[in-house]
Amino acid sequence: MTDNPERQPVILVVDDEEMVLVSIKSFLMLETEYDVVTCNGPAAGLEAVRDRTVDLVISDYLMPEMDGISFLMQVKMLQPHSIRILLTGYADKENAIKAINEVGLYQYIEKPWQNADLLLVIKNGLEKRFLIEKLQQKIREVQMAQESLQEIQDQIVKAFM
Amino acid sequence: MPESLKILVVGGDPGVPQTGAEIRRAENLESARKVYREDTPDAIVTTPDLARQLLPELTRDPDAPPVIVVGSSSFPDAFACVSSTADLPAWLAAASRYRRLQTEQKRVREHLVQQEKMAALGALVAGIAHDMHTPIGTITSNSDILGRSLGRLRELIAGECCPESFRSHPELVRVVKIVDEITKVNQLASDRITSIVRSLRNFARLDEAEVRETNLHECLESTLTLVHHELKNRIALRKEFGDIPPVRCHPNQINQVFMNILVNASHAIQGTGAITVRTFRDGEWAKVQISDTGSGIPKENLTRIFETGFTTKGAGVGTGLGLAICARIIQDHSGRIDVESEVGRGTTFTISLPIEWKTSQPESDDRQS
Repeated sequence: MTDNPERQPVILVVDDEEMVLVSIKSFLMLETEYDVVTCNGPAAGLEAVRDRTVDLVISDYLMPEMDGISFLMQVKMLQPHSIRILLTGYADKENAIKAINEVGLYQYIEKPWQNADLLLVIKNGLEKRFLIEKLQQKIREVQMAQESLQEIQDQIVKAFM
Repeated sequence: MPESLKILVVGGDPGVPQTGAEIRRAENLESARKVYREDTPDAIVTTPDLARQLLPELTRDPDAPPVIVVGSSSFPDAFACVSSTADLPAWLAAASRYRRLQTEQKRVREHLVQQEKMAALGALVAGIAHDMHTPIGTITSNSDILGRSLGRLRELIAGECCPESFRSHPELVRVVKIVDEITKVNQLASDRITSIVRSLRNFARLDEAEVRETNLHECLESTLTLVHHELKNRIALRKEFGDIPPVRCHPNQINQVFMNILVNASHAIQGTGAITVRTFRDGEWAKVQISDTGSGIPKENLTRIFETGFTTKGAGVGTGLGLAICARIIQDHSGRIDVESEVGRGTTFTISLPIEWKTSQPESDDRQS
């Protein structure tokens, strides 16, 4: 597993149950160096996503304002490259599986969750996120190189005309 | 089914024909009530005078036997009113058929009540299991965090920045030891709750009320977790799971059957013993065999255990419905349930389910037959 050394990953956890937020945040603070933001509802969660770049979002499924899938769908529109994870009870499993395709979920985790599993999923998710980031960086570099190459080519062509 | 009709004749003999029926007589209402309480007759034959008092008492009870009044036609509540005893044999034969249907109806009604109870209980269990996810998830997670945090604390205490006087302080050593132990116990406890809740929710399976391909081993595992408290250290559990393919069935109903037989098995074992759960494939059948080393079932009871109302447990303990419902469920799955038993050695129930079950009967038909 490659921890990204360049910057501190930002994790957003959204659940209407305060106890879940405290538990997950405490766990991540103990085991990782992540910047963990918690919100007790989708509305507050969306505000957080509008404010700053979030690398990975973990959301509960059953919440009063809107369900976790609709919430993650909106997160996807705001930050398409964020990694999205649904935390769900057993009864909602089928919805979760459907959502993996529809919303582009990275993973779903069943409640009650195991911390070790949660950490593994988060780490893998972040790895994917940073690989994509690196890939985009490389693509930009290649594009820039190509552009300057094109420029040089144009100059050479001009010089010979 | 009553082989010979039990007829109660109240108030003088109107001339009941001798047709092999078992006839009891009561001269007055008082003795009629007594006979009725002791052993409910299948039909009552009486005079108009006594019918006037008897009928209002009986019509309150839906399971009351049919009443035939001889010598009057003015009793709408009676099963029949006949003017002469010559008509009695025909009406008694009709009463006998009526009684048989009435018994069957009572059995079906009890079965339905029990099923409704189970359905309500199932919904309750599934609801509770669902509501417990969040708190149990939190407790499980938190005990894990506590364990990890204690590990960190220990590293710090062992590290250079910790003065030796603090590190070896007896009170510190004691507290760390206590926290370590209770955290480990908490982890075991929350693991167990998690597994019980998971089994409950698998057992109730309300989300899967329909017929589906079912792994019988999963059904058995979740049921065994739930009966664990019945077995404890008293009864050894042997699992001999063979190779059986998924079976098309109602998993929640099949779970109920396993539960019933396993609980019976554990009740049959006084003191210590063993329960063996075997599964194997036999042609087109998936078989589940549950054997106990319990007290066994006497021969004379062996044919009766699947009857509604048959119980050897004390009043308020057994309902006499458990195995009757099991038999019904397995029957509805076109399967078989067989029993072998030897007093003092133990009992083996064998449940055979067709691997490819065709659900031919519509749901509403299930309630009759």
